[in-house]
Order: sequence, then C-alpha cells, then structure tokens
Amino acid sequence: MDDASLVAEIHPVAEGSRLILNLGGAWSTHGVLPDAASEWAAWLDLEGVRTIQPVLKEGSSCDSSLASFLVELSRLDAGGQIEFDLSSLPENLVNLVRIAQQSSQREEAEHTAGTRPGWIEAFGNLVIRQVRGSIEIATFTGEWTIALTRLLRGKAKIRWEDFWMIMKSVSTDALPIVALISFLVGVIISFLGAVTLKKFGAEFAVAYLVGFGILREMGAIMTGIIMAGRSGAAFAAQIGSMKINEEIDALKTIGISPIEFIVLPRLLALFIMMPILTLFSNVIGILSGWIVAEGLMGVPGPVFFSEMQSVLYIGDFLLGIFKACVFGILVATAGCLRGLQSGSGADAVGLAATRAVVAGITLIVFANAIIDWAAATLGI
Amino acid sequence: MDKQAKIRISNMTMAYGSRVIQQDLNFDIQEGEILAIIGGSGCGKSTLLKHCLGLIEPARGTIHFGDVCFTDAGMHQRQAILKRCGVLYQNGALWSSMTIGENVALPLKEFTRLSKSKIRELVRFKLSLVGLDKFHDYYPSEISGGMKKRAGLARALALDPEILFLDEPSAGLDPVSSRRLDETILELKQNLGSTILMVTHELPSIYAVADRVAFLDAKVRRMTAIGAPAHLLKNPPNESVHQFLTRNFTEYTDEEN
Repeated sequence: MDDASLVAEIHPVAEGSRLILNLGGAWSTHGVLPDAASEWAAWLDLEGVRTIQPVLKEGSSCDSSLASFLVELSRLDAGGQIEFDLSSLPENLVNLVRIAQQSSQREEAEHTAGTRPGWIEAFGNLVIRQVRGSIEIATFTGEWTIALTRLLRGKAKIRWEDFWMIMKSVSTDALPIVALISFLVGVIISFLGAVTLKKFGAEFAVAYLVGFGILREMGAIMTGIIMAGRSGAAFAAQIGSMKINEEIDALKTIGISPIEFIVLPRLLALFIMMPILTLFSNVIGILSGWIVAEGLMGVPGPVFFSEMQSVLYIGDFLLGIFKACVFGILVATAGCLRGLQSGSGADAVGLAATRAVVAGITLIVFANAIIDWAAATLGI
Repeated sequence: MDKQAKIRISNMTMAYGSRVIQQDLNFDIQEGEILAIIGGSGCGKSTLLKHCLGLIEPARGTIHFGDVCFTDAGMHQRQAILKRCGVLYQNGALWSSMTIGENVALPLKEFTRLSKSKIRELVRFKLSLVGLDKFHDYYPSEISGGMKKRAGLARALALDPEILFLDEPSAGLDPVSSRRLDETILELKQNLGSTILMVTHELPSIYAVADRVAFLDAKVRRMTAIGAPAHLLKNPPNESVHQFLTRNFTEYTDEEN
C-alpha cells in the first residue's frame, strides 16, 4: 500500500496566459504528494498567468487527494484572479472539487455553535458554577431533611424493594472488603505499637493503642472510606445513568420526588448499615491487633484483653459508632448529590462517580476532625 | 454484476455462544455498489458488520475481501485489509478528547507519511466534502448528532477507502438531516467510487441510497431476500420482506423473541 513507488508528479507548462498542469504518477493518500503552497509559490513567479488548466495524463492514477490539491490551489488564490479550467479532468474529480467548494455554502455551515469564552469569561463561569454548586448542596440537604421528616410521618413514597436491595449491597456485599481492610489496619496499628513500645519495655500497652485506635478512629474512618469508594461511587454512577436515561425526569413528571424515591433509600441504608459495618470492622481490627501482639511480642490473650478493658470505656466505642452514622450520611449525600448533578453523556457518569468518592473522603476527614475536637472539648 | 466481488460472504453462521443469530449467509458485495443490510431489530445486522471488520469471528464460514480470505488471515494481513476500509459507527464514535479536525487527521498521521501541512489540507478537504470545514476546531460534544455522523463519515473517508462500512448512518436523525446525509453518501460514492456496505432500517434511506438490499430475517435466522429495493417491493419473495418494505406489520408477530 504505502510504498515509495506511489509518487505524484506535476509538470507545469506555461502557454501564454495559460498554465497547463500535467498531472501524472500516482496521486495516493498512501504515497508522496506535493505541497500545494510551495508549488503555488513557485508558479507565482510566472508572469501573466490567468488560467490554470490541470490535465491528468494517460495511465496515471488518482484518489481524492488530487481533488484536495486542486481545492487547496483555488483556496490559495485568495484574490480570485486565476481562473481554474477543469474541463479536461474526469467528471468525478470535478464533482469532488465542486462538492468541497460548495461546503461553506451549505446550511449547516451557518449553524455555528457560538464562540468559546475568553479567560475572564471562563473564570466568571467557574465562580458562578462554584456558587451554584454550594447552593445545590444546601438545597439538597434541605430536600432530604424534608423527605426524611415526611418518611417519619409515613407520607414519603419510598420503594421498599429498592431499599432492601441497597441494604444488601451496602452490607453483606461489603463485608469481605471491610474485613480485609480492617484486618490489615489492625495489623498495622499493632505492629506500629510493637516497634515503638518495645523500646520502653511497655509491650502490654499495645492493647491500649489498638483499642483506642480502632474503636475511636480507624474502625469508622476505614469503613467510611471503603463505603465512599464502593457505595458512594456506585450511587453516583447509578443515579447519573438514571439521569442520562431521563429516568429522574420521568419520576418528576409523574409527581414522585426523586429525593424520596432514590436518595432516601440509599441514605437510610448507609445510615443503618455503617454503624453495623463499623462494629464488624472493630471486632476484626482488634482481633488482628491481638494476633500480632501475641505473635510478635508474646503478650498473651487474657493480658491483652484485660489491659484493653481497663482503659477503654463505653464512650470510646459509642464515639466510633456515632462517627459511623455521620460518615454514612455524608457518603450517601455526596454520592447521591454528585449523581443528580451529573451531566449528560457517558463520560459524565464516570466523572460523577469520581467526584462522589473525592467528596465523600474529604467530608469524612473533615467531619472526623470536627468530631474529635468536639469530643476532646467535652471530655468524651 | 460481472465485476469482481469486493466482499464475498460464504456459508457464514453468526452465533453468540450457542445462540445462533444468522445461519448460512451467502452473498457478494460488488465493486462500486451500495448494499444495504436490512431487517428488524435484533436480526444481526450490526453483528454482520462486526464480523466483516474482524471484531467478531464467524462460527462457521468465511469472509473474502477480493481474493484474500479475511477469516483465515493473520493479524498483519487483516490490518492491511482494514486499512483499505472506512467505518462510520452508529453514533459517529468520534474520539471525544480530540477536535473534529484531529479526529480526521489521526488515521492520516498514523498510516501515511504525509507532511503536517499536507495532512491539514487533506483534513480540510475531507471535512468540506461532508460540509463541516467550518467545524474543524470544534469538539464532538459541541456539535449536533447529524454533524457527528458527518464528521464520522469524514474520518471514515480519511484514507480514501475502497470499502465503506456504514452502521445505521441515518438512525436517530431528523428527516432533513437524514436525507442530507443520504445525499452526501450517494454523492461521495458516485465520485469516489467506493463500495459501500451499510446497515440500516430506515426505509427512506434504503430507497434513496441502496443499489441492492439483503434482508436478514430474525425469525428464521436466515437471509431470505436479496435484490434491488424497488424490485423486492414489487415482487416480495415472502411476507416478512413485504411487511418490512411497506411498513405493514398487521399480521407479522415475532414469536421467537
């Protein structure tokens, strides 16, 4: 196909005011083609040329690249002083040139999609988008609060089948990954404690570290982050594709609030399941911490657990569970909101999922800091 | 009809696993003709196109491009064949991160040794053939559905293909855009001399563009008719062809699906 033997040739011959272009060789997109601009520049030196007449030599071959070349020549003749005499070319070639030249006159060419904004306008648009985004978050939070009160008064239209499906997907389906991550986090905390506390001869204190670390912080945070990556992203993707499919609009037009129908089950499911998953995560984390403490430092089980019991009290555990409830709401809100904000188009769904995860994790970290600070102030 | 067959499909059976879509397909696409594959939804029209492009392997039978057996060909040989083909996908399949111009330029950049300025010229030319030269710098998301298809067509034409595959070129377009696209296809076919295999279920397109149509019947899973659309309309070989071409569904029910 694209071997060097495909070379296009031009032999211009001037005959008075007429320039005859003898076109030969092979005009193929896959071969070697002449550059219109440089050829044109060379012919400009020829004085008094009024007409250009391309002639295709016998035995030469051409594809549409020849037509392209001719169109380009006439485009280079910006002033329109040169007349192009295409009479000696094959009909289909002339037609192609004509089609291409008429392109700008077609209706569609007038239907321009407006100009792109400059940087000032783009910056302004960005600010407006951010402000609108904040308003949307506030509106959304208000909407689901109202929906929740309607639910408590037994007025909300919620599809319980959906609710149980979502419950399953955010609970039992998530158990393996929560177990794995919690196990590893327990191992990491215990190992960290083992390395540092050994220097002070306080190996038994690893029990405090694991107990505090898992119950107050890591159990809820890790579960929250897993759920943000797993369920928050899934919510955004599901709702985003529902939006593309106009399912949300269909709900609205028949008078069902998408907040009640779509957001509420997800919010409730995560709100209910996050504490339970966190409890599970706590158990796994503490067990794995004990395994490392016993295996690596020889702290026996009874000592480990009695030490842990002596410093921990119920408030530590409840704080973790409280955090889990908050994180559940935050992850579900971020996921559903990003889904509802999703633009149209397939790539918008992916973007919505990504933004849901980022928002979910950011919110978890911020909320955790605030809750810790409040707990410290209150002495919990 | 004496011309050499550009594509020959012999005894081909298409199946997804054990589910047979179409069996014993036998037909030719002659040089310079437009053959439309028609049939109801789910009859395997697009699947047939994917077989021709090597995206799906036939369960049985062969596809020849000229003298070369595509089905048995190795990867390099297949690529050489596909380089001579242009494809317009159903929704244009424009690469969304590139402008329309860059979309058309990519095959030229990849498969030719032309200079940048020459590629620019050819891209402008191909876009003006479909009436989109003013939209060189627009992104696919900024143009309408009909224009996307036109841009897809310009990209399919980038390497001056001998064979064009068009997957539902006018589906989802309004009647005017659809007609304009049909006209463009016809105009380009006449002047570029390409052979076209198109998949469609738009009756106006079929009558306006196709030299011959091949009817794939979803019910019996075979090609039950092939010929000029006007001829088939006048002498339909069976009831489903008649119903399809006249849009008269009164007695036809698809029991198998």
